[in-house]
Parts: sequence; structure tokens; C-alpha cells
Amino acid sequence: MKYIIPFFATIILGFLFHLLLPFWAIVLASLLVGFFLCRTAGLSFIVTFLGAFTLWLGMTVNISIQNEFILVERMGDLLGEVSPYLLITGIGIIGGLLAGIGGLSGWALKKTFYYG
Amino acid sequence: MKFIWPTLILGLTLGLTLFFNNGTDKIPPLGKILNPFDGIWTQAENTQSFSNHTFQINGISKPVKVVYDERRVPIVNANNLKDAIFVQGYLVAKDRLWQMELSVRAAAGELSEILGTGNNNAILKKDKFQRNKGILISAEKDVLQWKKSPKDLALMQAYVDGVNAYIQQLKPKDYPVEYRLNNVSPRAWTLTHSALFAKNMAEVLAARQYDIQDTKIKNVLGDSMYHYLFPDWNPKQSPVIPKEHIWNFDQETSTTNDNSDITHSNYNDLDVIIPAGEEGIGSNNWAVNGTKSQSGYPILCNDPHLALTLPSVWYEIGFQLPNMKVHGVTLPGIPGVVVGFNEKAAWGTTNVGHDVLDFYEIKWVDETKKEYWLDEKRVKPKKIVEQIYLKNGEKVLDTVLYTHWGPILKPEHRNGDAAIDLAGQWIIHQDVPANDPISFVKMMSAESKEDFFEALKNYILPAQNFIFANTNNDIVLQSKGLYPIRKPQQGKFIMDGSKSENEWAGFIPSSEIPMTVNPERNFVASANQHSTDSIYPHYYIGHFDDFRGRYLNRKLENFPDSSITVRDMFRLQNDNYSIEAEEALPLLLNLIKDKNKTQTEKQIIKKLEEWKYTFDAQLEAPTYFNEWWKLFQTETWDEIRQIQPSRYPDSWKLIEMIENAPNHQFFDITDTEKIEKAQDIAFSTFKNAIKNIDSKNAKWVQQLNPSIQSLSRIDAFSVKGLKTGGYHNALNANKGSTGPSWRMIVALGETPTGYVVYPGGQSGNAGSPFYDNMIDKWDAGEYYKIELSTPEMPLYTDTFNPKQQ
Repeated sequence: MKYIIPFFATIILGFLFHLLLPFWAIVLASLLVGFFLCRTAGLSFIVTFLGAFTLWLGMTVNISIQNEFILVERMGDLLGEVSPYLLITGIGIIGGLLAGIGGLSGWALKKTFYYG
Repeated sequence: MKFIWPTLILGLTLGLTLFFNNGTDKIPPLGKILNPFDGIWTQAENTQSFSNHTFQINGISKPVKVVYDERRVPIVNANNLKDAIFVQGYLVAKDRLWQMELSVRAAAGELSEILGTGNNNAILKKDKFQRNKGILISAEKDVLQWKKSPKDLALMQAYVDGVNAYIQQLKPKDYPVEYRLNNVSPRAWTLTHSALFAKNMAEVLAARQYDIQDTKIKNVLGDSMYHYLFPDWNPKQSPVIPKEHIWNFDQETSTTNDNSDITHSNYNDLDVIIPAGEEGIGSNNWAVNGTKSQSGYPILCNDPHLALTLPSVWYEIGFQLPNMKVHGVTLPGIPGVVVGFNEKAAWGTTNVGHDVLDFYEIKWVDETKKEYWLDEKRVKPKKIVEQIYLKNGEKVLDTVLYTHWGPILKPEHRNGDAAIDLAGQWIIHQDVPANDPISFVKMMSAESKEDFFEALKNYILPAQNFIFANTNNDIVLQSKGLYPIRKPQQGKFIMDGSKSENEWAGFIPSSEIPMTVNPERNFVASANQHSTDSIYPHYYIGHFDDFRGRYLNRKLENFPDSSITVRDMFRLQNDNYSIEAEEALPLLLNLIKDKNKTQTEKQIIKKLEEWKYTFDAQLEAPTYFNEWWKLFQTETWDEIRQIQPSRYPDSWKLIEMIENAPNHQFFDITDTEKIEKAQDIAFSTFKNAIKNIDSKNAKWVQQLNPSIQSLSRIDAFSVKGLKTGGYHNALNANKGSTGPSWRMIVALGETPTGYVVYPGGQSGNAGSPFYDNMIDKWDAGEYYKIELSTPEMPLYTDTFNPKQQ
């Protein structure tokens, strides 16, 4: 449970924040997850990383399927012969990375201010 | 101590977020662009499901329904013209906003503001050159002219308002991909922007001149050799207006032929980078009447040859108003229908190609260059300070000097260090009453030939061969434009800018411009050749392609009465036959017939002998001919190549010389001791051509390499490896990256039917299935059928309702 709750919390909170805020919504969402739901530094990074990775990758895949991969292929070409799959994975990793350090920040804040 | 780690982690978070938000000089803001929520994926259009929308909108008086056909071409159903034009602006903006932004900024010299100054300041330099040409100033002058006619202005304004209605409702997350990549936002559209778009076309089509090249060539080779190589008339030409046409007026101005004082300085140091205009930019149009056609009604055809880009320069649109049904193409930036048809008539256009840009040498009073001489009087040039905004918010000031003739070309836009200053007199700077775009709105409802002339009344630029046909079996061609009245030879070379007598003697009155109404030959046609025969009373010069025009007129003359069908016209528009090859190749082959040849050479000669002069994609003969002919010209004109800048004589002239003067001194290669004749260089260039061509890569399509380039020069957004053939001197004037940018054939009759195609798609969005969906059909030489009815299987419908106040 200690993995599953923060994982899904990142996805759900991330999704909701993204409706209102620019791309850094995911940083804020995972910061809250890290603060309230994670007990260790490692957990706060990895779980929020995986949650955001899943969210960003899933969204991009969903959009790309409806688009028959037209734009993702062109963007891959634009970034230099990057295959659509690699680009989509890359997007997942960007989301994951942003969330991961956000989660870690949340955990660090909690450590510093909450537990004193 | 305990704060160090948290501070570091928070700092890293902030840093990474900022990096993904702002990017660097080299790396775009990846988080902002790539995230799947408000990144560019908003532009990844759903390819499977389409839904109807309703919009409440300010600026229309009655509801407007837009029905999209299966290619997503909008058919605008409106109650009145003003509402229709408003919605046209809205739709074009929706599909082509970045293209509109880019074309207008490129013309005005405002690119640096959104793209930055570029590598080595290349973009800023381009902007400065545009300011030097004065394009923006001339567009602003146009708008002042438009304002004199409030009724026309209201329509132009409706278009502008429509564009802005779209821009205003656009959220940053829905900006086209290119805006996101460059991290910029769209700006409001203005009347000046529409004028600029028209100027952009004028610059592409009406800036060709050879004043500097020809001045240098004449200086080096002398008068008589220059005139031998560059005659004003091609004796084999088949002009736009039939030769038998009788002109019932004389040129009133003085026709003194004494131009000995026009070129007197030594211009040998002069080197200028003004592009003389790309070859391959041109067009065909023709219309046959009911005597020629099988149906008894006219058939009108048009294929403008322009740069082939994605998005295309054309945007297809239909209108259904209570009193008219129209279909055709427009240019994104101006209202109306430029090439199209309605229930009673069809119209189309090609470029005229007259030279309307002349250069004058400015004679300064002294070295301070504060005053120049004009008829022994000292005149101060007018200073205009151009302000160029940069992307980083800074501003660059650039002063342009305007003389009696026009702006002085700044030294930084020239090569070479000739100590002379040139001012350009260009037709786009003439302040005359005109409204070019509104002609295309009026044309939408033109039914009679009088309507056609009325629509074109205020059209001046760029000069076009407009053709028109209607169900009354009228066929008309008018070469509409503003043309200077010239003395013979005036404007071919740099002129003395200190004498006002070197000025154009006004403009050719519209009653005297080339025109033909229902000619006896039962067709009208133009393909960028000379407008008239040499007996036309006005003197004119320009850039003319005679081969296509000759072939077109020959083909149309040869069709028997009552025979022509739409199928014949399909074939003619896609015809790869070239008269240039028909005339040049037998002469070349004859020149080398007595030479000893290797086995390979004999095989290639056999291919060439069997060739029917068609530049078809899968043939090898065109590749060998093209290379051989190119090398033959290079070798022949070695003397001219040494003059820089210069240009080769037209290839018809070379054909004439091989035929009549194969021992001419020009066939001699100056670097060798031997005196070469045409047959010597024919054989050596034949051998070299074979050497140059990789036999595995010899198919014509591999040489032509047809492709459609993205307007922003992004390779990933371009389409390459097409299969079509073509040649710039064939009717299918495909040159690889320029060519038939829109093909239209209209069979008039009880129910007029159009057959159309262009190499692109309606959407300028690289994430749309309608970005490049028509390319395959165009590539195969096929067409879409258009009837002036509401599509039976619409993709979806947008409804625009006037907002309740």
C-alpha cells in the first residue's frame, strides 16, 4: 500500500492540476504527494516519478493513437531522427523527472519543517 | 546544516522547472512544448471523429453555416457577401495563421521580431533588405488608397475582422506548433497586413529585371554583340495576343531611338545581389469556347506555377450565397477567390512578366552625399528611419534614403565596391488609385464579360494575364496591370539618374493594354510568353518563356472543332513535352553524328533518338538531354560566365545559333588554343554529360527530385520523394520545388463542373491529417471533382451565430 497510494495520488492529483496549471502542475502535485504520503526519500522520488511517467506517457499515447501518430512522427523527425516510441518514452521521462524531484522536495520540506 | 540538503533539492527542482519552461538558445522549452496537457499535442488532430460546432460571434449580421467536404474544404453558406468574407477571414486564420504571419512579416521586414536575428544576423539582414525595398511603406500607401472607396473598404475590413475574431478567441495552448516552437504569440491582423500579402505576391512576380547584368554584358561585349545575343523578340514566338490582332492606337510619346547616353559609366566593379527572379515561377492558362469543345460550352484551365510549399500558397474555399455559388482558391491574407468558377463563368490567371523595376545611377553633388543632381538642380534625398524590432525586445534603426526615383539600394545589400549608388524605380511604389484584392471579391459574382472588366478595373499589381469564360460562350483574356510607357530600349540598362527625361513617360492607359475578346481562333491562352507581337505600339521588356506558349497554342490550334473534352485538358495540363528538347536535341545529335563513339555512347544516343521529348519521370533520355544541354550552354557561354553578374542568353537563341551559325565565335572555348566550333563542344559536352550521370541514378525523377518544402524550412514538416515528371519548359512545369501549385479545369454548362487539385492540404498544421492529404493525387496527375452544391457527405459543420448584443 505504501507504493500504491502515492503512485495513484500522483496520477490523479497531477491530472487535476494539469487542467488548471501549466506543465509544472506535475511538480506541484508530486510535491504534495511527497509531503503527505511518502515516508522515505527514495520512495518520494521513485513513486512520483513512476506516477508522472505513467500519466504523461499514457496521455501522449492516447493522443497519438487518435492522431494516427502523425504529429509524434513529425516531431521525432524535427528533433533529429527520433522514433515516435523513443519520443513518447522521452516525454514520460521528462514528466517523471519533474515529478520525481518535486516529490523529493515535498519529502525534504516535510523532513525539515514538519518533523523539525 | 539541516537546511543544506532541502535547499539543494528545492533549488534543483526550481532550476529544472525553469529549464523546461524557458529552454536555452539552442534547446526549446521542452516541458512547455512536449507535455501532453497544454503542449503542442493540442495540435495532434483526431483523425477519426469529427463533430459539429456552434460559435457565437461578433461581426456578422446573420447566421453563417460552414459545411466541410471530405477533403475538409469549407463551403461557406452565408446570407450576404460581408458575412461571407468575414467568415473567410476566420477560416483562413484557423487553418493558416502561421503562414499568414510568416508571409506578411517576410514581406515587411519584420521577421527578426519572432525568429530572432538568425545565424550571422541573416534574418536581420533580410529584414533590412525588405525595408530598403520599401515594401512596408508601399503597403501602407495602398491602405490609404483603399480608404478612398468606403464600400470596398468595408469588405476588406470584414476580412480583417474575421481573422482577428479567430485570433482573439485563441488560447495560448491552442497556438499553432510553429508559434510554440519559437515561443511567440500571434499579433492582430490589419488592413496593412492584407496589403502586404498582395505586395508579397508582387515581389515574387513583378521584381524581375536584368538591368545590372545586361549593363555589364553590354559594356564588355559591346552594343551589337549584346543585341545579337539578347534580342527583344523571338522570331518563333507565339504571343499571348494572336499575331493578327490589329491595334488601333499609336504610342503618343516621343520615340527617339537615341539612347547612346543611357549607359556611359564604367560599371565593371558593380556587383549586385538582387535576385533576378527564379526560373520556374510562371503559369499556364487557357480557355476554349463552345466551337472547340465537344459540349458546346467553354472549358477553362489554369495552373499557376509557384514555389511548392506546405502549407500551400493556395487555400480552397466554396461560397453559397443567395445570388451566387462559387468555388476556387484564395491566397491566405486576402479576401475573395483568385482562381475559380461560379454557375455562369470561370476565371484564372498567369504572370505577365513585364519588367517594371528600373535602376538609376545617382550623381552626388559631392562626396558628402547630401545632395544629388537632377536636371542641374541640387536635390536632398528624403530620409526614412526604419525601426526593426528584435525578439529580445531591442530595436534596430536603419535609415533609407528616398530619391526622385525611389529608394537608394544600400551598399550592404550589394556585393562589389563600385563607387556608385543606384536607386530603384519600381511599380509597387507608384501611388495610384487601386485595390488589387477587392478584384478577387468582385470576380466571385462575375457572369458577363462586362462584369469581368469591372472586377479588374482597379487591379494593377502584379500584372496578370486574366482569362475569363462564361456560358454565353464569351472567352476573354486581359493582361491587366500597370505598365510604364517606355522609349525603345529604356530600362534595359542602368540609367542616368540626373536627368528627369529618363523617367517613364506615364503609364499605358487601360484601353491600350493587351487584350483579346472572342478571338477567331476560338481559344485564349497564356504561358508567360511575350504579351504581343512586335507590332504592338508600346515598347516593353521583361522575362518571357516562349517554349510553353508555343506548344500550348500549337496544341490548342490542332484540336478540331467540337472535339475538346475535359479528358484532353487533363492530358494537356500534365503534358511533359518540351519544344526546347524537340528543337535542340536533333541539332545536337546531328552535330556529333560523324564522331567516333564507344558502345555506351551509342546506346545512349539510341535512347535519345527514340525519345519523344517528354520529361516523364521513369525515362532516362530526359536526364541525358538535360545534362548535355546544360553543359553545352555552359561551354558556349564561357565568355559570358566570366562577366559577373551576368546571365545566359535565352536557350531559343542558342538553338537559332546552332542552326544558322555553328561556326560562331561564341562556340570557341577561350581557354584553349584550338578554335572550337559547335560540333566540337557538342561532342565534348556529350562525353562529359555521360560521365556526370550515374547510370543507376539516371531516371528523370531521380534528377528532378520532386518535393514539397515546409514554408518554415523544417525538413520534418516537408514531403519528399514524389513520383511526378515535368520540366520547366513543358506545360507540366515541374521543376522539383516549384511547379503547378494549383490545377483547375472547369467545364461550363448547365451544371458547371470543376476538376481541381493542389499539392498540399487545407490545414497548415503538421499534426493534421489534412496537412498533406492531396499530394498523392496531385503527384499522380489526378483531380477532385467539384460541383457547386452542398457536399452530400460532409465531414462536419460549423455554425456561426451573431452574438446577441
